[in-house]
Amino acid sequence: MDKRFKFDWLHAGLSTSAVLVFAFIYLPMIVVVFYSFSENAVNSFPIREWSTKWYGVMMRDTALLDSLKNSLIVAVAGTLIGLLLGIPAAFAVDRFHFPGKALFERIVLLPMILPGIITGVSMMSVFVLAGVKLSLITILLGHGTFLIAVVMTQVYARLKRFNRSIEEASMDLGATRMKTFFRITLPNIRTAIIGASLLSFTLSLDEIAVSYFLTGRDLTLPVQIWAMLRRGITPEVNAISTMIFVFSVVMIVIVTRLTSEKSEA
Amino acid sequence: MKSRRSRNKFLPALVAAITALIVLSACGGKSETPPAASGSGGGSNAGTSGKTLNLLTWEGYADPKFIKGFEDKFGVKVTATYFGSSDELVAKLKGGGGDTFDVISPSSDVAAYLLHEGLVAPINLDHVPNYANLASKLKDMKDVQQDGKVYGVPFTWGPDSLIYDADVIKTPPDSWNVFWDPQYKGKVSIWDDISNIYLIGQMMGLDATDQSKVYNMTEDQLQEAKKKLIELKPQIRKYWASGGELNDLFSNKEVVLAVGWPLTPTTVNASGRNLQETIPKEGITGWIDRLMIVNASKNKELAETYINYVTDEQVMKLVADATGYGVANLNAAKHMSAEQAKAIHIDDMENYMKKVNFWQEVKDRNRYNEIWNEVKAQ
Amino acid sequence: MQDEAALAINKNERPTARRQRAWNPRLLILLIPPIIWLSIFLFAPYAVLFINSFWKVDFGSIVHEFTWGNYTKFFTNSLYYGTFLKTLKIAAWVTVFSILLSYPLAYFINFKIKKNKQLFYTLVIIPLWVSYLVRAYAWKIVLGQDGILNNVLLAVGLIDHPMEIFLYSQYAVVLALTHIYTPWVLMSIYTSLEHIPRDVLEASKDLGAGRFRTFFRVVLPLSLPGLIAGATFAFVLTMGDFLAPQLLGGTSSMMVSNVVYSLFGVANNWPLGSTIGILTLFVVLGILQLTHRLEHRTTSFEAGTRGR
Repeated sequence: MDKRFKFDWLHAGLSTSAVLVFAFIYLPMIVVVFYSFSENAVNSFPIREWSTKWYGVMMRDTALLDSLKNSLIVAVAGTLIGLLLGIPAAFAVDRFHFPGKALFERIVLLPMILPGIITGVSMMSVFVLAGVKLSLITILLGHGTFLIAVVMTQVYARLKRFNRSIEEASMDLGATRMKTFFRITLPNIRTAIIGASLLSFTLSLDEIAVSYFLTGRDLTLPVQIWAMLRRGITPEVNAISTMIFVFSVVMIVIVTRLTSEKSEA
Repeated sequence: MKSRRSRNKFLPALVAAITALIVLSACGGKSETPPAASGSGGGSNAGTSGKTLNLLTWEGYADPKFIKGFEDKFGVKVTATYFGSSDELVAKLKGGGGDTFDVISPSSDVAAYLLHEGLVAPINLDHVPNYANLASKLKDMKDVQQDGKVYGVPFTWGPDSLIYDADVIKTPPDSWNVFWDPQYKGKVSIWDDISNIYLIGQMMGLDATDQSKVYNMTEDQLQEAKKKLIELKPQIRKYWASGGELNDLFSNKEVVLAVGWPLTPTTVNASGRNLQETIPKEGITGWIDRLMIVNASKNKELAETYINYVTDEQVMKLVADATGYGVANLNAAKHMSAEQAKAIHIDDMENYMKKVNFWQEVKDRNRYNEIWNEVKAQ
Repeated sequence: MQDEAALAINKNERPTARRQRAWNPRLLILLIPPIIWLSIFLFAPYAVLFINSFWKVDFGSIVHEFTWGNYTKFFTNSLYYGTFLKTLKIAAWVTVFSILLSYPLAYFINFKIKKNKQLFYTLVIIPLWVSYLVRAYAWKIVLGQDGILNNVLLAVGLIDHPMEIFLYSQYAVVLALTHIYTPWVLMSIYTSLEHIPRDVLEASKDLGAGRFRTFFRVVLPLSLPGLIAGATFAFVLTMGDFLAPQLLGGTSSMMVSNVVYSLFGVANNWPLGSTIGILTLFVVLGILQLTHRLEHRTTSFEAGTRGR
């Protein structure tokens, strides 16, 4: 590997392309961060005056704050639905053999893979047919459906790696099934559950295609941002985007810490 | 051992955070549904306090400039959802369902349709005393009346005029043909809406004798319009989806020519630009927006209170400030400068309106929409 | 494995479990809630969509009268089938570009970075967590007439007037979608590269294979499952996108989801929208089935050692 005496064209090419791709991935987002501090209401280049006024505008925008609140409600409740139904589904698939299991596994995953717009319009059709008013509840039902898949895949992946003999040992030593579950199984998959929760929470917070069609008058944050983009209210969107960017980085740091703990344990 | 401890701290923290969030959001939710106000308040101000009125409107129709006063006076909260085209309004109303919205502001192309579909309710004019002060020309339109009942209160009206950047184009264009001028390739913007078909209809001279002809074009005429709109495509920078987007396109110097509403020059010129409106020789279309009450609304009286409030002459002046549109209450002119009255044509309404072909119901909206999509897909 | 599980479960409830091994009550408790949920919120909606695709529409309202008309319309009017084909083309471009961009970086991080590998990997996947909208919107600032790219190119002297082609065009849409899906593809490729043991590469070299030969005969084949999974993801998600074309697209950037969006959200023609939705659904399912098979045919190292 260490051929420092000879210029390695291949390695150089690879490094350069790696750096360029990195730049490609990050530059646009960094641009948004910079523009969020631009005084000018128009995104022109270069930035002439700096200011934090758009953050002030953002903090006073009640429609935006309402939508953030709505998004948090949906994300928390949606994550709970995902956990409540996704964890049992993961156990069912991991621990049991039943007819149609392969089919079940693939069907659960559908809402995660299928284009959101299809899920969105089909759910809207069924709600309108059933006379259900579109509201935060309908958005929540939509999110819950794909979050089940998210939780199930995460937990199932951990269960597959989990050494079942510990459970058996526990029960052989006289622990009840309940006790074994809470004392042995759950602690072992806990990081997977937390990871799945955070992932679900973030995905729900960012979801737009399904929400768009299931929205009544209470908008979620992405739908509100989309409405703002369509109406050309961009400087404020720069500020929100920056906040979302920071939030995302914090979330991923937490998740990475969790996963590295897992490898330590 | 260390990692175990930090993990043990993390889970309770997460649970605590989530619980806090739920409690917070539950409290937040509560504040929106305060205890029902005492007394049913027959059209008076009593009993409105604490309620929420939900508007589904065009942009600019829920501007804090005039909404704030209503909220303060009656102690209610007004929420607004915006639609970008008449068709979107219909879709939202049919899809959203039930009493999601209370007051809507449809334009003259779908108002009658909403009435036939039973989506709107008759308005008790006893609760809207300001109705008497509105321009009779607007009140006389029969499309929102049925069995002697009125379903729509005139709010604003305005043109879809030719807007140009006067810093770039020195002489006012006198024909819509300027859109096809190679000189302005990639500098034109038109609305993402079927109204472009009306525009081409006007250019074809269809409305010379009968204004309704452009709203009921034959298949051949539609095909010709489609051809013309496809020819225009290389000239177009972007089809704008909302008035705000058009403002943005002008502000960012992406375009110099567009078809648009007075809202755009009003807004963009406020930041020192020089946009002008003009009526080309082929004529222009325009719209009359009425306020209507959704049939399923549970806040009908509050809705009527609102409609009465915004049609007040002083409030209508604020509406004109915010939108730059013509307002239905001619007395609003008393509160305006001469320039403003002239700019929104309130001083000379009857005459100006003769130059405008106001939108009418399009019988085959489906086909119009399909033609427009075909243009976009080309 | 399965028998072990069954055994472990049988210990406590012998009678019921033995009589009905496949459907023991414990399984039903686990399985029934998700199944009920999915029936109501997954199957019922798709079924309604399917049924709606056979109704007629009259003045914006659904008329319950059976017709094949929506399907014939789809296949005869170029607005619908043409847009569909164009969407497949755009999705293919996005997929190809995402692979071309992500493979070298995934390879670089996995094989060339020695220290802080985890950090680099984290940096790559952070964008996955950043709002889709934000990432699409960011390109608007970069590509505009008065945007960064134009100004930089003007300053450098590569162009003498701002280019219009950057923003509001098909290119902008492909660019932004590539940007959005590259990290997904990258993550997928990286995971499969990570599972290739170093010994295998050493063995290949010891046997006299050059770097290219090692790559094409060993690394690439072993990373194919990850590559296929990532590519499928990028392709399918691009097919369903309707926001990027609206935000960054030009006058001809309509994709199939925009048509669906328009039929549901603007034109009030739900039956035709349902038809296109159902057809998209079938095409996506077909693609998933196809790539599922491909993935299994190209066995990864991990799967190989496990002996499936």
